[in-house]
Amino acid sequence: MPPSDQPIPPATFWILFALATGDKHGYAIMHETQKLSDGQFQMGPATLYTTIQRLLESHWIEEVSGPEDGDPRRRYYRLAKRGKSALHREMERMDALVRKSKALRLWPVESRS
Amino acid sequence: MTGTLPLSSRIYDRLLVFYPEDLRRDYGAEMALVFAEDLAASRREAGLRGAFRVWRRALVEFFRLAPPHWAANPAVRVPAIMLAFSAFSRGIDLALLFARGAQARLHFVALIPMLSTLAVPMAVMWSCRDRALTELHLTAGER
Repeated sequence: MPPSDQPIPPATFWILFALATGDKHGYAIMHETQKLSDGQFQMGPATLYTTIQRLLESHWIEEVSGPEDGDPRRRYYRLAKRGKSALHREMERMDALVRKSKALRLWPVESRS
Repeated sequence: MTGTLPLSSRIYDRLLVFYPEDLRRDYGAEMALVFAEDLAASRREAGLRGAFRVWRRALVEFFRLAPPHWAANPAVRVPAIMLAFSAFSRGIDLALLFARGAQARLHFVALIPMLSTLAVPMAVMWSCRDRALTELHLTAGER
């Protein structure tokens, strides 16, 4: 995982963001990231699971048991305390960037047409 | 066209063997499941264009993630280098043969021993693939 002052990679950010809205299995995470990003960010199963693997190792997310009647092949994931604070740090970083660019009148970008 | 979905899933299952072993062991079955669900949903929403999008994404990921793993794995790297070297040297032999203006029949006869030397590294690579496939099926069966 990147140091706390560094931006987190897009796949990591969107997975944490998707899990912030509730526990989910892999496909639901993929679907939620597309919805949250308005289709701007899309990933396949390999990116999804290499990132999930890393996030589990870093204890940013944790595996939880799914519903009793759910598909036994699915595993469910939950945002852990560390992941939540990393997500908040990233959002604060983005917010500071937007505020700074507004103060410098660089944002919103004016239309060139 | 629904018959293409199981075929796509089978092809994706086969591609999984080229991913890092720990990823495949821990998440291979789920990756295949997510791919199949994504493909089915994209087909429903956008038809063939949707399926193409899912495949394109899967292949981009494949070429981004799998080759660094091959390069780090001696079981795949060594036979791959042997195969590349063998193919390169056979190519040079063949080019020299043509450059000398040999008869067409001679070209054909010379090709057989040349191409047969490719068989050894190819067999080694094939055995690696078989071993990886067996591992994948074993771990998928455990789930």
